[in-house]
Amino acid sequence: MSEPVLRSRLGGPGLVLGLGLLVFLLLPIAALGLASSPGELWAALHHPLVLPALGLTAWTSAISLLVVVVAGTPLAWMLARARGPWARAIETAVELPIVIPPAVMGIALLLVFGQRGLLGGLGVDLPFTPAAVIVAQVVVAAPFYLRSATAGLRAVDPELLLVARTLGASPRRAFLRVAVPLGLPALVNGAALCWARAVGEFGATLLFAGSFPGRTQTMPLAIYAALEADLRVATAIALVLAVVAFTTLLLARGAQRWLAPPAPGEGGH
Amino acid sequence: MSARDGHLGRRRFGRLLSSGGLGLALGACGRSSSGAGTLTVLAAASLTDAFTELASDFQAAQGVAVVLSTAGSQALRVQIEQGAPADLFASANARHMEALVEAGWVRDAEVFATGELVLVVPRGNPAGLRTLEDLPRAERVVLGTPEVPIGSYARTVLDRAEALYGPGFRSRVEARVVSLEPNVRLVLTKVELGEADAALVYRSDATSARAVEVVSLPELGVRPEYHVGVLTAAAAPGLAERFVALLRGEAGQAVLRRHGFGSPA
Repeated sequence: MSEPVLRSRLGGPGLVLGLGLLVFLLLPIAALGLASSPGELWAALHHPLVLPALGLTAWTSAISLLVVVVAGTPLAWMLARARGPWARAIETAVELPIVIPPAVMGIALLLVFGQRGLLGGLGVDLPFTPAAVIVAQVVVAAPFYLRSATAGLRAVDPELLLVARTLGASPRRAFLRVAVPLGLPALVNGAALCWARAVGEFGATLLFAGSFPGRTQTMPLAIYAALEADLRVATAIALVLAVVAFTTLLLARGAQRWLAPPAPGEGGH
Repeated sequence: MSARDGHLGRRRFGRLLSSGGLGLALGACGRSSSGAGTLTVLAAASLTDAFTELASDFQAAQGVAVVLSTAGSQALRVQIEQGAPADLFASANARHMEALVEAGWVRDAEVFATGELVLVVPRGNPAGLRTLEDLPRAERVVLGTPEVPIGSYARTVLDRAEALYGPGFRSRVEARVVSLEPNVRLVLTKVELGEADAALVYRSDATSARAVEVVSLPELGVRPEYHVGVLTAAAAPGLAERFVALLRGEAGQAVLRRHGFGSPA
């Protein structure tokens, strides 16, 4: 890959500030890594709470991601295409779960789906089930996907869609064959963020789904439970989660680069 | 937000930083506010209401600022072991206090109150639970996770109940358990919201809840002890001693009683 002409060389204060933040961000993770010996990590992997929690986290977060991508991509498309103050208000409203404390979202979910909730009379019995874990993850993580996907789809040149339509493509076909491929890097980026947020979900899950090993106790809840018993076990389990998440996010980043359409100036390679 | 809240927030932020090991560089802004006229109390979460009242009494009587920080006893223990700048520690659990005394973080500890385990049900008692013996009839029971005090005390209650109501009682109850919560307030919340039909909590927590009914368990008599101790590194050990005296005295005991605690045995 050729070097861009303008390299991002920043001398002086910019360099100090940037590297300072980098160290600040990585130091706690490094401390987590240094806190556990390989033996402790091995023991943490075999802690009775870990494997059920890791499995539960993996499959619930995968389903959550699937739900968000399948339903969120059309929503992001609508939000990207819509004009006017109402559209902006709705776009902002769907981002609210990012700001609202997750534990409050958990209470809000109980107020909707709980025994005495708005939909409690419909016979939907969600709390204390893995389905509740997924609901909590979707509500808390979906905004991260929507934000990135809406921005990515908005950047798609409308002229290209117009061309596709004049060539006889239906709106759905133009969306699936033109907008989605062009917005794919943003969709993958949003999906990675969404998945990461779902894996780390704690507050809403604890309030809405409770914490029961193998049923609703995801990794963050297992770490919290272990914290009460033994700090070292908790940090070791947390490190296991960090390694799994890092690997997955790194792969997603690779996929994103691979999917990125060549930029206009880089057409040669 | 009042000025005092801001002060408290800064203190807590400073403490968080120091407990994360970054306190060396940034601790100065956290420590600067701990003057001689400030008492910093770390108290178990279950003591929150009672200690808030006691702290304001103490503040009024002594003319000093009291900074109260509440969390699970285990979390507070970690903060102390990481050098959190505090004067007094009140624990809901003897194990954590003993560990701190043994390691030299806390000078000596004494019992200042007792708790009491009770059964709570949502208001109206939909499952119709009159005694602990009815507990297996509840459809959803919530307990504390075994790692936290409320969870281990609940298991003691179930063991004693097994001896009283016959073998299999504990496993019949455990078959109804839908969630193991990390602290007593969350256990209580699940009943307050009507999600769970029954839970075992401290009477002191049940006293503060409006949407629950309390079923006493006199025959089971699980009474956890609350310990208090002055930190070795206390900046205001004199104030800390005076706060302990307040706790042990009649006025302090009256406040604790009103919040559902018992006197030391």
